[in-house]
Order: sequence, then structure tokens, then C-alpha cells
Amino acid sequence: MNNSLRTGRAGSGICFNIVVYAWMVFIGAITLYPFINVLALSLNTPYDTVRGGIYLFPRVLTLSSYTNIFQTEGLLNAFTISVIRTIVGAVTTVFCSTMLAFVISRKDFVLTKFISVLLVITMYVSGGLIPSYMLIRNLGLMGSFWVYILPNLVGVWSVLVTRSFIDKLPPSILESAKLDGVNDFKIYIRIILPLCIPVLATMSLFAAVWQWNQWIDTYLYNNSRPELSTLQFEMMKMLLNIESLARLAKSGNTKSTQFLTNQVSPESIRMAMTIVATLPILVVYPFLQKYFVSGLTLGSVKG
Amino acid sequence: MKRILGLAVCLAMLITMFSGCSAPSSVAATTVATQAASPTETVAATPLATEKPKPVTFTMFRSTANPGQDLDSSTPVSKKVQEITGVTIDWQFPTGDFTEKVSLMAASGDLTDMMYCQEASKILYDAKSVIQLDDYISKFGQDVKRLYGDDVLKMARWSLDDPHNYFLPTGGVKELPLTNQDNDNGFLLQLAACKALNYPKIKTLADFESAIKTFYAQNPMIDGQPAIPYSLCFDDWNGIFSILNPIGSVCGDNGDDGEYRVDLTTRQATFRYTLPEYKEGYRWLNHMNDIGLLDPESFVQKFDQYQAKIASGRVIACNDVVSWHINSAIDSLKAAGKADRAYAIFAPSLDGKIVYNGNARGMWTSRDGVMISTKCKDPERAFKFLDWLCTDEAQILNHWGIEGVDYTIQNGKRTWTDDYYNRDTNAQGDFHKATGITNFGWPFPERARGSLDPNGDYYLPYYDDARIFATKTPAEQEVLNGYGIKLWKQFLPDPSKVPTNPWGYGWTISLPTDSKGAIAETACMDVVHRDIPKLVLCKPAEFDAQWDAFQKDLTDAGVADANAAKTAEIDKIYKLYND
Repeated sequence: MNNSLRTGRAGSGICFNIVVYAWMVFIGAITLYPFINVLALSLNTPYDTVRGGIYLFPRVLTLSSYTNIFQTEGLLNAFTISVIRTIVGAVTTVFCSTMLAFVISRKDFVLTKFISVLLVITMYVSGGLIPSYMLIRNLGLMGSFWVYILPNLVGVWSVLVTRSFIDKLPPSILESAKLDGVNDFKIYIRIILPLCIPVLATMSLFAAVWQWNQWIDTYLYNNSRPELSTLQFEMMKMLLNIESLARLAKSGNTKSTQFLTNQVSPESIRMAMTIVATLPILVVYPFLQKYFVSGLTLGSVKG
Repeated sequence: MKRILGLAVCLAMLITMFSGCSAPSSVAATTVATQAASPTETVAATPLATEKPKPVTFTMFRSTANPGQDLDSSTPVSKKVQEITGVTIDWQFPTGDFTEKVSLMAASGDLTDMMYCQEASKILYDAKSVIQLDDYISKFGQDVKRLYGDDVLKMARWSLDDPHNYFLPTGGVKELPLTNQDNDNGFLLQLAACKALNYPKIKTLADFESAIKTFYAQNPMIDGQPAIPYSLCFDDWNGIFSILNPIGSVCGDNGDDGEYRVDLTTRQATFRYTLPEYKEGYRWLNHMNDIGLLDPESFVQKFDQYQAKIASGRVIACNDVVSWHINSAIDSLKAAGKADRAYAIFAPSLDGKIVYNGNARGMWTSRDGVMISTKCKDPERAFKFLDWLCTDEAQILNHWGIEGVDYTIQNGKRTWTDDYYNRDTNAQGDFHKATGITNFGWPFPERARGSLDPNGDYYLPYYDDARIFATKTPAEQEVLNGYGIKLWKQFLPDPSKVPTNPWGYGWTISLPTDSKGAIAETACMDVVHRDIPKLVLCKPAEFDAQWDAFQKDLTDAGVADANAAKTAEIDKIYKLYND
């Protein structure tokens, strides 16, 4: 009789564990494989990549795709701009969002409900491409670095999460601080912010990743200032070339396709660009992981 | 904790302070023009030739960039242009699909001074964002008239309803096709196969087939892998270059009129897949499948897989465009030392009677070009600049370079060194970036390649047959010698002997969007994509029935509407050109 499989806690546990682990490994492998494939393609010689058959390991190892990319004019500049906007954007977004959350969490503030409703409406409804474009243009933000920061100062989701977190803080802290004669700003800086560290870490991570990945604002608003281009935009330019080629070909404009002859980068170079654009965030993630996990479970524990 | 927070805030503030101070580093323009809507210097209309002209900067939107060019204004040629005209151009490019960007520009009014946006020109016209050029042409456009000729300017009018000029057409005026280049597409057979079979004459599809069959029988394996006699790719738009156009050429249509055949005298358009020749063309493909020469994966493989097969040297024959469509695969073969696995380019006839039609029709020029927007503060100066670009001086400067520096006069003719010719062909090199040559070429007005100036010298650098021959690999040259020709285009009919049609290129004449005809056309193309695989892969005995079903599907999709709509549009253009 095979006791270990049928009876006893340990027995059924093993079977269950094996299935669960196998399933997790499988899911992990499927998720990890495309990334490893991209990495392998990027480390392979462009001419050899065309022959196909590269799966997990590069066949002809080379770093030429990466050197090619870094020799691209303006890429280092784009990298710097991306880093700056990520840091500045994350810090300012977190700061402003938490300030707003603190304000609307105060029960004695008259407009709490009103502002909350307004914020929620913006989560469902947005103006669309042309009105947004007109707005940014009329605000004078076109062709400037601030178009990356100013329109994104308040993240509604961050505000609502922070507000619910602040609501859970014992009100006695605030009352005692008030009694001591501390003004609101000091309450915010000294009491609320330190208590909100888990939320802050999560929010800043989300904001940072969002800022890092943005390219459409560069495309729409900063097209005339190549020195303000971001890394993602440069990557998009490289990756989208093949689409414009396809469109031209479909429209029958085979004469113009001659002009695009050398414009579609070889696959290796496009893969290398993908790695360069994702690596910084990948590197930062493990350090912020513990905050990330606790932040996700924020709303789930009651009391 | 407080300290960390304080430090972070300080850091953020410092960074924002310094980021605002960054000066533009990579743009070396002498004047800084930020966005399109900001005003440029307005200048009174100074005559360009006499005194030193006041500098002005025009912004220009161009729908496609060419990474081989650096349109930097610090190149020698750009500096010379600034010296002569005072004009600097500040370029703007979109990313990916430019139609959206152009719509946005039109809707918001954020236009650049000059615009070139290919088929999106219609968007600008509909938004009334571009100005008429008729007055400027008559008052200031002497050189424009000289370069284009009154007939081309007449053809460049917008439409019958609005017979005015809005653009200066882009593209070499009345340029013969395949000037300065060799034929790059057709029915391809491996060079190794041509050599091994001792240069068989490939005059008809039957010849092509027997060459493949013989070579495959002799070489079932290539480099240790099974050889593929004949492979095609039908992955989305790639099928146009692998199947639709080559079969079209064999049946007598080279795609100049898109998916239609237009009769020269009656100007009646017929959707080409309804023509009897195509039945025989696809029957041949069906036959190739039947005798086992067609790659069974042809209709399921993705373009990357197809290209990988070619790059491995296993594909004995295919149809494609070597210069840009499968060029990665060809380059890969050359890099691996397998240049004899690249291809010879043939132009076989369907049955010995119908003449293969590939790139043979003379071109007048295009139906779009550089336009001046309503936002330009000084359209007169902008137009005078465009007019200057049409002068002989400008054409030579922008294509040959600066005399003494880039080109020299030998025996009374302009000459480049061989080094220049080599660097020019290799467009990815630093040639255009270093010299600035062609910065003001396409899409600005250009003379045709191969055209002669009043002194009998070439306006644009000319690549004669010997020079093009010299750029080919030794393997290719050997095969060309074996056939006794210099270039593959010698298999095609002489372009100067093919009659030009009086409506230009039919593929540029698009049907009005959302009209019955346009919808029918899209539906018919969907039917084509759906039914071609069935036609090719069915048993030969069923072919006729499948063809009839295909024709019935086309009729149901509204092919008659498409034909009628296309005929109407072509007629309108014909009247515009010839009234």
C-alpha cells in the first residue's frame, strides 16, 4: 500500500506540491522564454540571425548590435532624458498625489466628495487625441521638457489608493498633532508621509515605470526638439519603420519603397534596442520588490 | 527617514533646475526654430542673386526619413545653399505611420512652412491647409517651368474640379525606369543552378520549370540540408512581391496600374484577376505544386521563415525583389561566402506570346510633391527657394556637390572619383552625411537621372552599365557573362519603346474613400487573398472549377463596381492631363 500518496497530511501534500510546482515552472518558462529569446537574438550577428533557428542561445556571439546602437547619434542623450524624466516624474507625481490624497482624506474638508467624484470621472472618460493636443499646445508646453512632467503630476489611481490608506491610519494621531499646534503642512510631512512609506514605494515604482515607458508624448509634442527625445521614442522609431514599409508596399507604392531600402534595421539590432530599453527598469525592480508586494496587499487586510 | 526624504526632494529640485538649462547639442542649425507655429524671420522679397540675402529658416515636414542622410545644415553643400539663398531648412519627421501625424497637424493648425507627405497630401488639401502655387509659378517660377515643362505642370494640377497647382511634383521628371540601376525583381533562379546547367535560356515559364526540375534532381541536398525547389511567401503584404506582382508581370501587367489592366485606347479598367491570362498563370503555379516542386509551406510560412530559408542557400528558385525585400537574406549569403546561392533575375513569358512586363513603362512623375502651407509667413520667399532649387546651378550642387571639392571637370564633363561612386551606392555609409549631397534632392524638384543639360553633360551622376556591373559579386558577374549580357534588365523590353499611357500611373489614382467602388475593391482583394491558396494547392483536375468559383466570388464582392469606379477616376485624370 502506498501510504504516502493516499493518506496522511504529508502524503497528499507531496502530490499537490509536485503538481503546483510543475505548473509554476511551466508558467515561468513560458513567460521567461520570449525574453531569453530576445536576449539571444540581440547577442547574435545580424547576418546570422536572418538564417533563423536561434532559440535560447546565440550561435555567433557578438556585441556588435549593442555598439551599433550606442553609436547612434542622440541615443546617449535620449537615455539621459529618459532617466531624468523617470526620476523627476516619479518624485513629483508621488509628492503631488499624496498631497491631494491627504487633503481629500480629511473629513472636515468641504469639497471632499466633489473632488473624489471628479477624479473618478477622469478615470473613465478622457478627451481624446485632438483635444489633449490642443490643450497642451495652448498651455505652451509644446517642445519643452515639462510636457513630460506637468500633465502627469496627479495620478488618480495613486490618489485613491493613498487616500484609502490614510483613512486607515488612527485618527488619534492627527488629533493629538493638532492639539500640539502643528500646522497642516507639518502634519503631512512629519506624520503622514512617513506612515505611508509602503504606499509611496509602490506608487513611485508605478510612476517611474510609466514615465520610463512613455513615448507617445515625445512623438506628439516634442517632435521638433530631437534633443528632448526619450529612449523609448528612439526604440519606437526603429521598430515602427517596418510598419511604414508594409503600408507603402500595400498601397502599391513600390517606387517609394526603394527609399526605405536601408531603413528597416536588422532583427538583431531591434532586439538589442529592446534590451537596452528594458534593462534599467529590470535592474531596479528587485530592490523595490518588497515594497511592491506589500503595496499590492494594502487594501486587503481589514482592521 | 526625514533626511532621506529631504535629500530626495533636494535632488529632484536640483535635477529639474539643471534640466531646464540644457542647450540643444545635436542640432547644429545656425538658427534655432522650435515648433512649427513659432514665427520665423519675415524677410522682404529680396532678389536672391544680387546682394547677400538675409538668412531665413523654413520648417519642413517630410513623411519619411532616410537614415543614410543626415539633413544637418552644417554639411558643405548645405552651407553653400545657405550662402547662395540664405535659406536653412529645419526638418521634422514623423515616426511610423505619418497619416495620423498629418491629420493632427491639419486639425490643430500646427503646420510646418513646407510639407511633403505623399498620399496624405489629400488630408491637407481637404483641410485647406496648403496654398495655390499658380500665381507664384507664373510670377517667380521661370526655372520651375524650365525643369518641369508646361505639360508636366498641367498634369500636376490637383483635379478637374480644382485645376490649380498645389504641389511641385516629386521624382525625376519623365525619368525612364531602371536608370542608374539594374532590374531587381522577377523570377529568380540560383546562380549556382544557372552555372551548373550551363546557362539555359529561360524564355518561358516552361523553361524556368525545367531548369528547376533538372537542378533539383541533381542536387536534392544543399549544404547538408534538403533543397527547396521553389518557395513562395504569402504572409500578409509580402505576398504582393512574391506571388501577385510576378504572376502579373508574366501575364502582361507590371503593377503600374495597380490591380487593374487599363486599355490604352478606351481607358476601361478591368480588375486583372478576371483576365484569362491569369488563369493560365495560376494554373502554372498549380502545376508546380502538383509535380512537387512548390514548397508545401509556401502559404503558411511567415516572412521570417521564408527569409531564413533563402539565407541558408537552400531555395533554388523564388520570385521576389532582391534590392530591398529579401536583401537581408542576400546580404547574409554574401557574408557567409555563399554568393553563388544568390539569384539570377529572369523575365520569362507566360507562353512565349505575352511579353513579360516588368518596370517597362516610362514615368512622367508623381501625383504628390512639396507643398507650401498656409502657415508659412513668407510663401514668396519659400517659393523662390523652390524655384532656385530647379536651376541648373542648384541641381548640380545638390547632386554632384561642390566643384573642385566633390567633382572635377574632365574633358569638359563633370566627373566623380570612383570612390564617390562607390560610397554613393552604399547609402548606409557616411557619404551623404559628410558631403550633404542629396540633402536638397528628393523630395524637392529633381531632374531625371540620365537627363542631359544643354552642354550634353549629365545633370545627375550617371551610372552606366559598366559601373553597375562592377558593383555585382563575382558569382553574379560570371553568370551574366555566361548569358552574354551586362545587366539583368537586358532581359526586359526597352523602356523607351513602351508607350507611355496618357493617365500616368494608375496605382496613384485612388478611389474616393468609403465609396462603393473603394469598398468593392477592398472586398475583391480579400477574395484574392483567400482564394489564391486554394487555386494553387488544389488538384489540377479541380483547377477549372476552383477558378470559376474564384470568379464568382469576385463578382459577388462587387468587381464590376470596382472596375466602374476605377475607370471613372482614370477618366477624370485623363481629362485633367489632356483637356
